[in-house]
This record gives sequence, structure tokens and C-alpha cells, in this order.
Amino acid sequence: MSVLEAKNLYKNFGTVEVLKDINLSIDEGDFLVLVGPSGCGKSTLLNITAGLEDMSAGDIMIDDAVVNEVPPKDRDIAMVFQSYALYPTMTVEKNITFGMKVRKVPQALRKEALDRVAGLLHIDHLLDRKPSQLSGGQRQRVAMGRALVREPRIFLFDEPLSNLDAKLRIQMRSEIKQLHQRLGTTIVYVTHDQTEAMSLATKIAVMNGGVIEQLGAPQELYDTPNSVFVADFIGSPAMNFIKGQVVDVAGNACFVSTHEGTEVRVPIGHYGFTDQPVEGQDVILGVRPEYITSNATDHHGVASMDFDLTPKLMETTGFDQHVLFDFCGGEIAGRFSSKIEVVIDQPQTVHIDLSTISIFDGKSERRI
Amino acid sequence: MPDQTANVARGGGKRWSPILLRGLLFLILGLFVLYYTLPLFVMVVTSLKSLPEIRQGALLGLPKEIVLDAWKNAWSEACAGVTCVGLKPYFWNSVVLVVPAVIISTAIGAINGYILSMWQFKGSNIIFGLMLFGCFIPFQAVLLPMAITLGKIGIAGNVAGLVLVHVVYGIGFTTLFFRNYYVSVPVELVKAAKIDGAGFWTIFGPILLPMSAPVIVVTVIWQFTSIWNDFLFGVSFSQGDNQPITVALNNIVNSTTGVKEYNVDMASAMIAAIPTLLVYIVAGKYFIRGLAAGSVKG
Repeated sequence: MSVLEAKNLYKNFGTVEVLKDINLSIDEGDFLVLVGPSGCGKSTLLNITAGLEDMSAGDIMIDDAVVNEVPPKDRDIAMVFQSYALYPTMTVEKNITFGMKVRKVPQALRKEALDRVAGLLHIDHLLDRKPSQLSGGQRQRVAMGRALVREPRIFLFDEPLSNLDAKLRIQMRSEIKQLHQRLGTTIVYVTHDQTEAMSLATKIAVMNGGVIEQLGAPQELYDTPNSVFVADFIGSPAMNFIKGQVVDVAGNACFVSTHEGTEVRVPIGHYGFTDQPVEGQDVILGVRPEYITSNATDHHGVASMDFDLTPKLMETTGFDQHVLFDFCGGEIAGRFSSKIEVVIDQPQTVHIDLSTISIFDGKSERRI
Repeated sequence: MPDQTANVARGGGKRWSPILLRGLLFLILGLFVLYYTLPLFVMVVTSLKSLPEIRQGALLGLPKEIVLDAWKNAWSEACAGVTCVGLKPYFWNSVVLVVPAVIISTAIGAINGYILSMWQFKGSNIIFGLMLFGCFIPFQAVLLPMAITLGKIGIAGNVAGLVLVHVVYGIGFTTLFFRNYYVSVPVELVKAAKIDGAGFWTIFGPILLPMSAPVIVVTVIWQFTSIWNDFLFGVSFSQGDNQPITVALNNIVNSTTGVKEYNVDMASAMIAAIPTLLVYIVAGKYFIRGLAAGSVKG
């Protein structure tokens, strides 16, 4: 039984299709993150789930019951908004208990729930303040408190951290994760930040142009992205893409990329194709920067290659450094240990681990 | 700090120019203050003089002796036509007219503005546009249809009729004020309230209304001033004992019995103007604040 399910969901604003045939389902305790660039429809999907917007076609089901016509307050959900949406004239206490007051929960129960949530979120000392007297992080906590106090079936988060500064964002992120682990509630979370998605989710839905490009566990999306879009969106720095063809060399599949007379051949015989390519098919080879390293520190796997490449640009992050090389008419980025000395314009040996590559069709950009 | 150092670096010669500019600014502002307060000064001074002293012709001079007779006269004795009861009964007429008219038009404007911003429906923008259009219809244009309407309803010539006229005419403005104010309130607030289980009135009452103090002040001042100062509707849709103070003031000033009593005229005009003046003084700063809050987002 799934807690939340979307079936053949469509949403049009006039002639613009914002959501196209969305299907997904999540189970008890899942943390689903809807991630994608702005305008991909993720917030619309969340609003439809909450009942704040109507769908054009399709069904939303909570606990296997269709809730299309059920108003937000009766869907047993709670939502945290990007702008926090705290009631500005009410104190923190009133903000948190407003929903219970509207639902006519007895005073004693209200007090009990308030104490529980305030303790959980460490906002006991703020209860008498107005939202304008709180810092961004505190407002965020109060907004979460207002959602938590309801003990809903599903929590909905609409980019809750994007208004916070970088440090606080990471702190609140781990607090949300801890809350989820402790309370085991089901969460749907919208963000445009793939790092947030990766670190929080048990399931990620990558959305693009109103469709779900891929739905799966974070590691699955990272290791075997379904399309160039997902591969590019998940992971930072982004995956490298090299255009070329698949050719047969002595019975072994080989990736060939030619640029200005120089030909690069990469053996891909070990790659598990889901869709066997034909001879000469245009493909895109994807390699994550994490697997492009300096020769000196890495062991040679079964499938790996060394190249002599010239560094063009180097960015250090402290722990490691991102190095950019010209490669086959394009650029590829590698992640080197910061212990390696990289000199710009001085060629050096670069080691590419081929055991984790992705290969996409050149036209459809889907994984093959 | 950087400004100061820059000034010092530029040398002593230029340091005087900001002070000179400031002086010039205050001079110009001072002249404006003088220009605008002079009529008020003449009014106050004249109302405190005795008639013989006025006839001597020193318009700007301070009274030799302060005489309050003109004020007493204007309040309770001055004649409008043949009735000599002063402004007192008409003052209360205006109060009885203005208070309900302001409250009702503000309340309707608040609900209209709330619906037109937070509960938009198909055609709501057209309705808002039409209401805006109503703000620009001159008073004179609606006199005749309004008179017919009031006659048909059966409230022509009494206070209820005049209240209705002012409420109808004011709704355009009050709706505009509240709608523009509520448009700047984040929609997420309403979404959060909906999820909390709040309905139409629960969102309006406990959440939006307490946030609306600035715009309520603006609307009340606006409506109070325009209804209190209205003459045309007053003179057209009220009779005899029901007339508002503006109409009575006109009658007093225009009824002469040989001698023109300037001091009484001035005192009457002051009495008629004092309530609006008070409203501005008490709530003026909210007025400016509220106007700005409605126009600038965030």
C-alpha cells in the first residue's frame, strides 16, 4: 500500500502543459525529493498534492483513496513554505497552535502538542515572540513546528531552505534528516538543489519540462542516470560528456571520438548495454569527474585508461581540486587530490576509470 | 565615513556648499509653510476679533482683545435663512452621517479587496477595473440617477439615503486601497492558512485583519475627509433638519442681515474643518505609511 500516489496527472495553464502524465508512488516513511530546474513543475506537483491547486486530469491518492476533491485541511498533510508563511501578527505559540484552534482541539491537548514540538525543535524560549523578531533559522524552525504539531500523514516541504544562508542551510538540512529518521514520517520535498536532494532523499524524482525524467534512489540516479539530463543534473561538478560513435574492434565494442584528425578510442566491451548499439551509432559517453584522476594516486582497475592531457583551468576546494582539460574538441573536468601538483598548460598523465561510465544514445540522449 | 574623508580631501572651500544648500532648502520650505498657513492664520485671527475691529481693516493684525463671541455665535446662534440655531445640530447631523458611512464603506472595501486579491475568480479583474472606473465618475454625473434610485427605494431626503450614496460612491476607493494592500501579502500565507483548516472568514478575521492597520487608517482618513467635506451630495439629497454641516455652513455664510459678520463666518468654517484636521493630526503618519505600503511591494 502506498501512502501517496499520483496517477496520469496532467496540469495545464491555458495552453501550457506544466505537468505531463506524472506517475509516482511512495511508501510509508519515504523521503521523496522532487528536484529539477525552475519551471519544471515540481512546485505545481506539490501544490496539487496539497490540494492548493487543481489538476487538469489524473488522480492523487492518499492511502489508496482518491483525494482530488478533498480540501487541503482534510488531506491529513502539513506543509512548510519557502517564505515560511508565518502569520505575522501572531506569536510563535499562536502560529503553531492556530491550526489546532481552527480544528477545535481541546486546550489541554493543544498545550501538550505545543510543548512536545517546541522541545523537539528547541524553540521553547521563542514562544512569546512575533515572527519579525526571529532570525531566518528560527522562523524556519517555527514553520516546521507548525507542520509537525499536526502529526500529519505526509509532510510537504516547498524549498524550505532556499532563503537561508549556506551554513544554516546545511545545518537545517541535517536537522530535517534527523527528524525524518527519528519520526519516520513520509515526506515530499521540493528543491532545485541536487546536493539537498542527494543528501535528504530516500527517493528522488528528477523533473524536467513537466515530466519525471527518472525516479529512484539517490545512488541509483548517480550511478545509472537514465538520460543526459539526469546525469548532468545529479552530481557536482557535473558529469563529462564526450560525443562519438560505437564501433566494433576485433569483436569488442569500442567508443571512438575523432576531432581534427586525432582519434580517441575507449574500449567499452565491459559496459552492460540495455539496448545493444549498432555499428557506427552516434553515442554520448558520460564519465563523472570523480573517476578522472591523477595517475599517481590511483590503482588501475580492469577497465581504465591513461591519457596525456593539458590542464587549462584549476579550482581548488581544499580537499581536492577540479581540473579542466581539453579533450576531443570539448572539455572534461577531473577531480584530483589536492596533494597532486597541477601546473596549467603542462601536460600530465590523467587516469580515467571506465568501470562506471554511462553511455547515451546520441539522438534521444537516453541511456543505452 | 567615506563621505567625510572625501569632503576633507576636497579641501575647505567646498565644505560650505552643503550647508548653503541646506539653508536654501529650509528657506524655500519656510516660504511654503508661510504661504499655506497664512489663510489659516487669517481665519483664526479674524474669528477672534470683534466686528468693529474687523472693520478697521487690519487683516493680518493680531486681535487687540480676544473675543470668543463669534465662536459661540457660530456654534449655537448663527442664522441660516430663518432658523437661527447655529452649526450645532448640523454638526451632529454630519457625525451621524459620516460614522456609519465610513464604517460601512471601509468594511465593504476590505472584504472586496480581500476577495479580489486572495480569492480571484474568472472575471474578477474586470470587476476590479469597473470599480476603479467608478472612482473617476464625477459627482455631478450620478446626481440624477441617484436621486431616482433613492426615490424608488424610499429613502430620499433622509440620513439613510445620504449614507447609502456615500457608501456606494466610496466603495470604489476603499476596494482599491484594500485590494492593493492585500496583493502585497504573500499568497503562501493564505495557502498555509488553508492547510491549517481556515476558511474564508477565518483567514480574513484572525490573520489578515490584524495586518491591515495601516490600510484601515488610510481608508478611514480618506473616507472621513471626503464624506465630511462633501457638499454636493449633501445639498442634493438632504432636506432641512437633516442637512450636513457643509450645507449649513454655506447657508450661514450666505444669509446676511445687513452686516456681514466675518468673524462668525470664519469661526463657522473653522468648526466645520476641525474634525478632518484632527483626524489628520492624529493619524497622519499612518496615512503616509499606509499609502507607501500599498504601492511598494515587499
